[in-house]
Amino acid sequence: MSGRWLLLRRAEMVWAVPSDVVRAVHRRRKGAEVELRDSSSLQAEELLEIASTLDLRPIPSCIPEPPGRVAGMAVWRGQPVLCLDPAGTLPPVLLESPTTALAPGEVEDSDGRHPRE
Amino acid sequence: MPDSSGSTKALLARAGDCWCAIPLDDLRRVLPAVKLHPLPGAGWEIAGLAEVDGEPLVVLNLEQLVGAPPGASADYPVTLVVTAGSRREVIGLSVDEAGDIVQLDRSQARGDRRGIAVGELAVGARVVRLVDLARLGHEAGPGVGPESGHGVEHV
Repeated sequence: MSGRWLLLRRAEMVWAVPSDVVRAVHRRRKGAEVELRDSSSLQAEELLEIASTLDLRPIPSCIPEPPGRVAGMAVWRGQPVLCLDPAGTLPPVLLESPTTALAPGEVEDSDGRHPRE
Repeated sequence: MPDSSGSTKALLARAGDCWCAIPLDDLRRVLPAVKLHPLPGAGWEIAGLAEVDGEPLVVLNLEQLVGAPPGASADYPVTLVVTAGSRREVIGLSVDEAGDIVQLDRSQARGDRRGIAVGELAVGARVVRLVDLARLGHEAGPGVGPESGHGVEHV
């Protein structure tokens, strides 16, 4: 797969999303939400970079695949990366909101903003 | 390369409370344990994803693959880079300790299959589980299935 990739961090893993399926990115107080063209959205703890190239390697067929469909794996700045196949089911961990660290009794609004913001 | 009598060289590696024999034909490298990035929600056999010399590497947990009980904590854990499955794809194996390289006779392996371990044989004073990495994966062939008792047919 050629083209640019949006790199994000979630659950101790770097994930790569093909940039042509990204509709919008919304920064949140805790991380960011990446809206895809199919109206689904991913929850990231940190946005890292837009990478112009990733040397994609296939996931070995002899192992169980990670949850959701991935197009392959790569290395970015010395870290392993899982590259998403947007045509597949997205890994559940990317659909869940990152854990927030609000004080007791505090709640975030629907945009994930802190009440004091 | 095993000869016609079934004799082959293998690296002994400790996985949990078991010593396993990894045929040298399947072994590419032995590395100090690589830094692992866990794959959220992945199967229990997958230890994580790593980077080795600029290449991504899926690392599996040998202890889980051979159904070994937990053993002593590892002082010098290592990662074995091996070829596995019918396509001989490169993967990593997380093990607790690397031992000697020995000559053994595959035909002497006896006992039940446990995951990708196809039997046990005596090597010196030790009983080791002989690992057949070609059994890893859907194309592993006959013998991999529920009767193994460790559910590796989906690996």
